[in-house]
Amino acid sequence: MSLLDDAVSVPRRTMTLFFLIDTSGSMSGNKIGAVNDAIVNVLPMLEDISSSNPDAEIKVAAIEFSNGTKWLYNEPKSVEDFKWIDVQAGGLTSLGEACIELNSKLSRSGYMKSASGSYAPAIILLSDGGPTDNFDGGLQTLQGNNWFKNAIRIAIAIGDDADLNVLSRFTGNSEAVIKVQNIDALKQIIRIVAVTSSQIGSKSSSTGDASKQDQVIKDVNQAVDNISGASTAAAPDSTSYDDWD
Amino acid sequence: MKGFCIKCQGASHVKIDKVCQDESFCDASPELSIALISDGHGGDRYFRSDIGAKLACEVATAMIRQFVSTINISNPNLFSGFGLSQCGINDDIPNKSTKDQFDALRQLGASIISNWRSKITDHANTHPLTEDEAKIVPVEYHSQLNEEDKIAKVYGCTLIGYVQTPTYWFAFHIGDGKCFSFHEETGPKQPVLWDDACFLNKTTSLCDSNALEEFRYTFQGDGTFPYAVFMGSDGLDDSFGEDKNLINFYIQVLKLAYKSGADEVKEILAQDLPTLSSRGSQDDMSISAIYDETKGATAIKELTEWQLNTILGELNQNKARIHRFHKERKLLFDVKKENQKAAIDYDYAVKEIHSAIDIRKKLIERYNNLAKELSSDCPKLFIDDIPYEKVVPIEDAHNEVGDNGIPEADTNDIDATRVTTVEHKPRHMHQKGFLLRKSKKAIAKVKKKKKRKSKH
Repeated sequence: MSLLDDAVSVPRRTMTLFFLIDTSGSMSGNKIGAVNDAIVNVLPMLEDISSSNPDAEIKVAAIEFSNGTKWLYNEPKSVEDFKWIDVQAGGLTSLGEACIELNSKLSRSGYMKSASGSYAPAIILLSDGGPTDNFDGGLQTLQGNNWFKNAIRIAIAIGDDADLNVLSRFTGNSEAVIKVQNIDALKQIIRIVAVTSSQIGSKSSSTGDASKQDQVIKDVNQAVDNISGASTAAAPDSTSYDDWD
Repeated sequence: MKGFCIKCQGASHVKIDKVCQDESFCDASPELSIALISDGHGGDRYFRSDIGAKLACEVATAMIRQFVSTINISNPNLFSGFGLSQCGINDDIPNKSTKDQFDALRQLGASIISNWRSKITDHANTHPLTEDEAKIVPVEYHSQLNEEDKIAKVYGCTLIGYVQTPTYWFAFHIGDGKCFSFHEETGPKQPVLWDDACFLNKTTSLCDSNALEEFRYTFQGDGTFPYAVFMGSDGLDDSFGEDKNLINFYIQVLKLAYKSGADEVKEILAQDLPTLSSRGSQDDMSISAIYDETKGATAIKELTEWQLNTILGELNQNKARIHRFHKERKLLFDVKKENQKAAIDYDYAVKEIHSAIDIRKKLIERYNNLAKELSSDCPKLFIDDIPYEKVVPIEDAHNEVGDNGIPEADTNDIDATRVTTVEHKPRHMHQKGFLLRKSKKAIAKVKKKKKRKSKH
């Protein structure tokens, strides 16, 4: 006899990976093309991580922000089912509004389930400029959110015009902001950040006191050292320049 | 009163040969029943948390016995006449008239912390860092055993306790893990208020410098007692996700205890918990439970009714989900050819409908099994009112298709606002094949209607 028969539900634990994508006008052309391309290519890798991981299922949610905000789907999708729809660039940079939107979804009434049975989400922010709305207000709201406080937060600063200070405040750590200066570096970093966050974020075993965010930062920064045109925002100014052609 | 307790090494601990860091304790008798669990923290710096958890249970047991015997002599009416009273984190005393009671419970909390700290300090002083520990523990934590303000971290753990005497009961909790009490008529509840500081893998702890402020307490002295109390470490609630799933598991355990006794339960849990840890949280698991063995008949009936009502709620949510995606699929059908996003959303809707129907079938099966358990002679089986012949996506349905490729139906196919109910059915309707015949009849009716329509 077993108590774990059909009368008892043991759901798989869940980790949700959020993409916050700047689709303002300055992202048009190669930048937005590289983002679309990189996310499409990384999804099968995340699917492998999810299907081979007994600990947790990975779900994906994505929001684009320009003049306003728009979620790609109205609920997070299993990575196996998630289909990327190319985003287009145009408009301003409503990062503050994106923070408010994210805050509303990081709740039981939004995209999250019970904290028991969930892993902290991983949030990847991609931006090439500075916010044009009330970012401070949006971030302040978000910073009061328990899910956000415990999330893995990584930002990808696309090009020299990205506001590193804003991105560092979002992630809470300048080492969690990765600066990229060419198409190839952007694609590689999206892949590395998404894969590393998913691998570490969906594991149940603790590796000591280091937070999952710290583990991701460590692994990503190691990878960054080997990518031309990528550096952490915490590193001294490099001599490389933007090349988006 | 009866009780049992058990602990199990987590699947992730088995893989790396790490000791089980949970501890559980139970002692049930008419005069005094005590249930405790303590969950040692998993991080590297808490490398003796298994010992911390054992000492926490030992110390708590001794302090509780002392507390109860002191009260019996010095203030036997301390809790008398008071209804359920709870005190959470940073809450003022909810009712000023209960100040003396909560002060007394705080005194108990203080004595547990102080004696636990004394015990772990003795242990650290008499057990210096071993060679094995030195190999595993990161170097930066080696000196913690010699630093007075850091010793507690090495032994860090949580603690949940429930105590019952013939005239009152009380419970306390610091950290995560969950405790549920089962009450006649009002069903299961968490007797101790939750602390929002315990979130995901973060928890308050006996090793915190402000541990005394992190204790939460509950008591009741008006002669009302739960008929059962279960507590489990976070390895359990992380495996079940929603509380209702964990409560459902405890109900299954409790029913077995009433039917077969505590020894049988322990035997089965010893087999099941490792499997559960492997399928669920991967973490260590511990359970401690106390139950009133005289309440079996009433309890089993009420517990089964709770399960049935919970499934009914899930079936209604499931129905609303089927309705939502069925409606969405219909709306998207015409535009999906021209619009990529609509095509993807359409596919999602189809998949979600299939998935929801699969879940529904399992829920109905579970519901009917429980209904038979409640009344084997004349069970009130679930009557499903989802028109599957209209709702199941056409790719698989083999049913009548309208001009637009959607099965003949209108937007009112499913009345999502109508709450699903059960009806008592005559016995002959439960005979094998009845429901099947009924659904065939319904399909034939739709076909006939379609035929008539096409003639016109």
